[in-house]
Amino acid sequence: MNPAQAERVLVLRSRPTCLPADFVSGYYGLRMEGGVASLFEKWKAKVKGSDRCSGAVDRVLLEMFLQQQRMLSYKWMGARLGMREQSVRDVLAKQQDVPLPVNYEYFGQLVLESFKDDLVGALKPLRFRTFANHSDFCRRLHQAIGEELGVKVQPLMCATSDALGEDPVAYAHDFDCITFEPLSIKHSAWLNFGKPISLPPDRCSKLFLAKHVEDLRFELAGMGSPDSLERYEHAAQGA
Amino acid sequence: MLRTWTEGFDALLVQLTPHGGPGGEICFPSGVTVPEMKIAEAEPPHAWFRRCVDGPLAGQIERCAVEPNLAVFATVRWAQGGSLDYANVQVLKTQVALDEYYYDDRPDEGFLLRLDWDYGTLGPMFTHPLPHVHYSSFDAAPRFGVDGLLSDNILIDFFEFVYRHLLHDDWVAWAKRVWHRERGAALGDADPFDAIVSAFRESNIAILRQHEHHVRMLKQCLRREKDRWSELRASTADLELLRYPG
Repeated sequence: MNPAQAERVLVLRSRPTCLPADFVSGYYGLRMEGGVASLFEKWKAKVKGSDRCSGAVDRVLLEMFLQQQRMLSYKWMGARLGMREQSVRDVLAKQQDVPLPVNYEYFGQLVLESFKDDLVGALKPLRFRTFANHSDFCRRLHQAIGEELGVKVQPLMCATSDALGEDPVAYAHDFDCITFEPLSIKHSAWLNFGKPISLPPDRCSKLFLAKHVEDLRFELAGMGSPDSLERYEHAAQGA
Repeated sequence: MLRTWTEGFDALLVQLTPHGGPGGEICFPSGVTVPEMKIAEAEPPHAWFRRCVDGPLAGQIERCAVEPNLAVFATVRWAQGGSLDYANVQVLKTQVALDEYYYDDRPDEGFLLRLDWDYGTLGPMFTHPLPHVHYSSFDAAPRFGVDGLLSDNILIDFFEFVYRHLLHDDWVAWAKRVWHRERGAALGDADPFDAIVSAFRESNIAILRQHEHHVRMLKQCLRREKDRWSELRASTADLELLRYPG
């Protein structure tokens, strides 16, 4: 792995996990400043042992904060909707056309999680539909947004699916915690960096894992070795 | 406060509950009987639904709507003590609102499931599990057994199958509420519920194996919760007798 990725692994392994600013912005899509920093500090003040990372951001506390506030960054809301961050902002700018009366945006950096379900419920073609999978959901969502709101969505595609030459390329649902690249459900491997189980799991690309399985074998989550890495190992060798 | 998966099902459950009365029969929608609303051999679901709405429902789609996209037609008979004698439950789930499905002529946007608990339809040897579910109006199509092989709470198990598969988000929200009340709140940061939900969605069997104990506990919690909703029970002796393979 390159030096930046190796550094990120070291950060993730550290206890407590104190994140530098570039990790917070690169992975979470957040800058700890202004209203976000102020709200986080107020929330942290009520948590015991919250001063472990002076000058940096305590990773566990940051994720607990976002979970309890039921908020996501624009970057991560984008992943949930299979679209780039700017498209999330473009869609939110049209929320009164849907209409969605709730104020979803905070401090220019955070979006209420409920925006996803509220948006789907408000778009007539999607309201009662059962989706086959995340890619099916994203395709239909983007089409409906185009038809109902006139917004041309920039899709967020899985970097691993693209690297493997899949057709069609899978939509991303998460971000790789080491490479920070967009990642689909299909190509995700879970890693255990010691976070509480109640927080969202860390994921990395199975292709990345296949290239670095010896470096990351202690962080593989779940019982047993990861299934079906053979395909990714072949792809990694061929690269 | 929600008791079951949705307010719609809460209301349906009240209507399908004997409330301690002696043996009897309940129909939903009220006054609509089996002969009127039973799907005919090879009848397409869309045609069947229009027939039910135009006929027994007198044009009032809302009478059968449990959810905006879920119609139910049910007849349930029981004997004293809550012994289930007969159940015929037809459920239509549409990918658009029910009235769109009806008015806009969207025949490909809905599908029908029918639960039969009927001693009069045992069928050729071991071909009709009791209870069984039809997914097709063709009589030659195979019938499938209901989830919860060892459970006698067949009516609730069937509806749970419907909500779990077809209104999954509502089902998960319910499961989370029950789990939180029974175990999750006590577990705090060690609560694996969301991880289990994600692991299923991502087909991550390794994670599910890691949480085998909690998955088992979750199923037990949900079983106890569902068994509180209805007193109607199928005969466990007959379930055992007619189950195949043994």
